[in-house]
Amino acid sequence: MESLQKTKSRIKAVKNIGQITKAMEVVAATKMRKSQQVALNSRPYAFKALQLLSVLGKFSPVKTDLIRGRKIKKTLLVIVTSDRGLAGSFNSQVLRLVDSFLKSYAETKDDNLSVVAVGKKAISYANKKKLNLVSEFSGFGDFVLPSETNPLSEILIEGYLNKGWDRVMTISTHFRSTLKQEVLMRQVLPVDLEKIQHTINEIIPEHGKFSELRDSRFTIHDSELEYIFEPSPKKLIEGLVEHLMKMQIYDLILEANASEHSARMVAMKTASDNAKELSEKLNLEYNKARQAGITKELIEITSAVSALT
Amino acid sequence: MKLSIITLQGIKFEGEISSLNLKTTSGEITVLDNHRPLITQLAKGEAVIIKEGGEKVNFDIKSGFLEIGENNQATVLAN
Repeated sequence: MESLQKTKSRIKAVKNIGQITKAMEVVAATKMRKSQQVALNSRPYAFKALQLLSVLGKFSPVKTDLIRGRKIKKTLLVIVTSDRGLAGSFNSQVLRLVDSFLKSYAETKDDNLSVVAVGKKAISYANKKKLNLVSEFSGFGDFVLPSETNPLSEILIEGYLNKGWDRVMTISTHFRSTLKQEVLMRQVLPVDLEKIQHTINEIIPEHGKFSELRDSRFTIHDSELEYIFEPSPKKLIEGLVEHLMKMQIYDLILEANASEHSARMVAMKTASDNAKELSEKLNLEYNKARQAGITKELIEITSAVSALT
Repeated sequence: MKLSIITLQGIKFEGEISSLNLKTTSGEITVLDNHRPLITQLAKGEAVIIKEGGEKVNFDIKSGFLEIGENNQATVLAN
């Protein structure tokens, strides 16, 4: 059995750690809610944009350079991870999917894969694997602004139009509910409008807070108005598709952010639970040691008394 | 007319206004009551909203769209 003092200091240390993890848990929970709220705020915009697109679609074919696909020779992969650790298996899950993608990619084609890394963990991963890193982003705050993700979307669009790559895939975490996130691989470019609509509906989590909004899903109304279009329906569609694609990237990052926080929250909850359990165990040990000490002393006293008499 | 300004961060303005001045890619326009349906692309610039009481509100726009629909309703999608 360890000495009393040692056990005491261990109890103290464990309690301290428990306090820290508890605090981190609470912070992560608050941030997660906020990220979800921010993501939800982008819905009216997305709905309106899709509605405009459906109106325009009647006057001009919805076929822009961003929608039209071509033969895929070069692929750009966007890896979205967090900047900070201590989020359980959040980053390793993303990187595991990247691993398996890279493996299957290496089997089929040669090495014309480019990578954009978002988050410090993805950057260090790409450097370690010596991937062809086109660009890297980190420091997207906890509540990303559209102006922060725009440089990322612009790189993706520009490279696509200049034939730097023929498709853009993203690997990021999809926030299904507080306790459930899954890593998904999605295609962002060429743009698939149905998928964007799907993404917009997916902003709402399946369970928990905000899930009641699920019923108010987006449907396109038919309108028979005679609009004037300036400059032209075709130009407008091009602009709208670009905006929608930027919105999709923005939502993707927000969703990864909410997932990061919820993963951290769960990890920290486990840590605090463990700390609590451990401190209870140590307390028992401490009391036992104390009791043993007292018993020993009593025996010594009584044996000394009986020797004297 | 009723105007809503919608951005990615939520609905920034909603209310009755008497006029709206905007820069579009094909020139500056002022929208008054009962404008006919229009969809146009906005250019970088400042939107000036004059509320029903005559109060002026300015709004920075980087890019976006303006839709004027039926029932005297205008929507600005802005970034």
